[in-house]
Amino acid sequence: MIKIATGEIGRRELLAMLVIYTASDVFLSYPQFIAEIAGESAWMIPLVSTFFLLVVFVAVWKFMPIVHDKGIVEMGNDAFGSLIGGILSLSYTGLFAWKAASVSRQFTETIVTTVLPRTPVSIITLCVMAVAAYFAYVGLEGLSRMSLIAGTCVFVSIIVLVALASPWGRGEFLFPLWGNGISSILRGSVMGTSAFFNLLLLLIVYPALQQHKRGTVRWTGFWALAITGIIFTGVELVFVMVFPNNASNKTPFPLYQLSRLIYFGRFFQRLESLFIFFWVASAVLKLSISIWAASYTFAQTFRMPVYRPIVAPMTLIVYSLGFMAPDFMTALRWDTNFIERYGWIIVVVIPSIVLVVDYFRTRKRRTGGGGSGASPREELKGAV
Amino acid sequence: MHHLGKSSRVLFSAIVVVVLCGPLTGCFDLVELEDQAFVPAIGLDKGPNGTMFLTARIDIPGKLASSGGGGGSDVKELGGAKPITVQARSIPEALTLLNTAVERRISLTHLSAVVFGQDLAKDGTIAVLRPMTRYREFRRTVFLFVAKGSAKDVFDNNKPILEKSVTRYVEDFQQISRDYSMAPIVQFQNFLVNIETKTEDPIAPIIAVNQSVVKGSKEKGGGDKDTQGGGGEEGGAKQGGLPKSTDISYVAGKISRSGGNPDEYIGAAIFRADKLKTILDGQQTRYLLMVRGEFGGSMIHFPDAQQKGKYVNVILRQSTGPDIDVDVHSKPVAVHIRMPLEAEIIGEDSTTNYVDARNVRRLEQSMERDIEASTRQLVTEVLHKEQADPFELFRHARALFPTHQALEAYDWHSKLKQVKVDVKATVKLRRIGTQLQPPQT
Repeated sequence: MIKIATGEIGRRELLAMLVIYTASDVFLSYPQFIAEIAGESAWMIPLVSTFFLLVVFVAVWKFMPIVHDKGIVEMGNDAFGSLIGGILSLSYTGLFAWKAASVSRQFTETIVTTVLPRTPVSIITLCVMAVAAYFAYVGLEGLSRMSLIAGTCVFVSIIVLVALASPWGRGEFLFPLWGNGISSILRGSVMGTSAFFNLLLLLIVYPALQQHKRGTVRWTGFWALAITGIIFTGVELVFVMVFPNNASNKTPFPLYQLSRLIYFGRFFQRLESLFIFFWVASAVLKLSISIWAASYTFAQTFRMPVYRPIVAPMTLIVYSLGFMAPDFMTALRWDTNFIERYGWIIVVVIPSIVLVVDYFRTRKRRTGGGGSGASPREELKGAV
Repeated sequence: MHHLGKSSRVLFSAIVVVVLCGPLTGCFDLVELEDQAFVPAIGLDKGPNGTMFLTARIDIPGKLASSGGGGGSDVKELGGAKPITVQARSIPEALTLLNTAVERRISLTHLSAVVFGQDLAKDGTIAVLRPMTRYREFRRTVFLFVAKGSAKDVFDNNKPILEKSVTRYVEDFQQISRDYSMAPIVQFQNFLVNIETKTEDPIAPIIAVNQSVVKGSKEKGGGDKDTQGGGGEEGGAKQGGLPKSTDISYVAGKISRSGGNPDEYIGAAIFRADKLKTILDGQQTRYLLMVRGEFGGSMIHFPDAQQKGKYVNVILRQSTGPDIDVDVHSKPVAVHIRMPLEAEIIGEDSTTNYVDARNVRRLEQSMERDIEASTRQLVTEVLHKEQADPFELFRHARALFPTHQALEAYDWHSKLKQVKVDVKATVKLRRIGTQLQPPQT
């Protein structure tokens, strides 16, 4: 039996973490957001977004580090210097913190609206935050293992939910094929990439991947993207078939609504309570990973030896940010107007640029410094 | 906790578990079953000055339990209590006012049916539907009905033969609809989708009070209190006597019968957007369901093609969904409906031998002609007269449009007045029951 060293994560755990982090958006407003943009063709958005991202992923494939232990923060510092690199790193911290705040607010508001109407929102948030902060404190290894365990259950629950709600769907509602137009699909697909934190998260956590698994990190990233895209597309297909255009954009909690529609006669109905369990699990995981990533990148930016002291203040900041929006509608609007609309710049564009620039800078330095001149990939081949 | 010893960790865990036991026993949302009044059905009627009347049935679990699950004679009312009616401007206000007369908190979490009064349905249902889409206690799986007349009358006169539970009563309807196709099954989700999809219109089953049954029972039994209230067969027997009408009727509230529940469940309400336009009888409803692809099956009689004045009874089923082709480029727009059906003979007045292939074909053709004519007449009448599409015809044309904007710009409803309807039914007689030839004298 291979002993997993503390602080290291396995390939399956990494894959699960990348998928669950991104795919848990199906429980929130992502399906409604893209349905509002593209109408009947909303299911194409995750497909095209995934395609865009896979193209980007393959394009930067060569530049992805697989031998050294530099995360995206260090790469940014090496590529652009401490000042610009630091600003870029703080943008990751800010995005993760904002995402955590947005998830916590949306999640708690959804809980209050749907299942616990009399419970004060602060109590729900405190409970969720306490668990998320503990998970973030425990660290990457615990988070990734929980992602594998809970992620598998969540994945199965999504498939079951979608299958049980699908009898309500009508294939005709997938037409007109181009929905609100091809330009809407393309616009939505670019904005839709904001939901895919896979690449950014991969570049943050991969140094923790077990040494002998480093060679597979790129395929892990590739499959994480593909699986996330398939989950988004499958859920969106059923959502659009069940809630046609004009109705789909008015449903703030799409998966919850789908679960409430499950009705197979006298005994098989009112199953949403079952799905809420998995939904809570995925939301807590997403929140935990966000708080961990925000604390970790912040600690790295300021060259701190540990990140754990940052977790508590970061959780407090996330809590405060979450309650900055005076109401649920504003929270949703902020999420749509900022994270969904511009998030792709931070989750896709900046990491890709950092990767490419760092690759050439490192190579130049090694060549100039009398190194072998071989690319990191070639070095790995030599090592293996 | 890494620095703690094993025993300290066990102790710490035990303390955590013990401490957590306290707060985990309940929550802010704890509501005991005994603190709630479950409303399984509501009726909504139009009131004066923009108000509405909400009639609610409240389940009394104790009474239902004592009735032994459906056959008890001590429960006079469906659900255990008489319906309560309040006047309000909206459903939420009505629920608030309702709680002034009900000692427990009104809960709609067990709601299974909503009945719209005819006047309210004519004025438009969207205003009352909106709170139902927002308020979390309403589920989109709730069944909708339209009362011919007022919903309150339907509630007041509802005396089921067998059931005591409203939920069971509503669920039974679904099975009846599947077996006989005399009324559609419509849940809130179906209704909303039809309304929100601007190229189609919703339908709902009709529930009506048969006044002759009410009158008959009062004459025979000296008042409905003694004759109808949950007495089961006892009530039915007392309401005996032959019906006085001279002809068979499939119209809701006019079925020629005596005895049984005064409420009748037959026919379909046709809406244009959210407004009730017309009501179909039971026979028309069958054809409506055939075109929508929701025809579960039904026992239908057709004239015997061989012997005039005689009838053949068959069980008719839809073998597959209808094949509908909407030619949006022709002027006027042409709709071609092809309906494959299967039949089984279950009885006949005549002496025709239906083992003979020629006789079978003649019967099939006769049924096809009958179904085609009735369906064509119904579809044409509804499209032209009501300018509504409850048949969901346009769903089959959605793929012809490249974008949603092009689809909405087409303005399907403005074309309905001139639509040319072509119906082709294909009936295949599959079985002839448990007898080869009819008994002869």
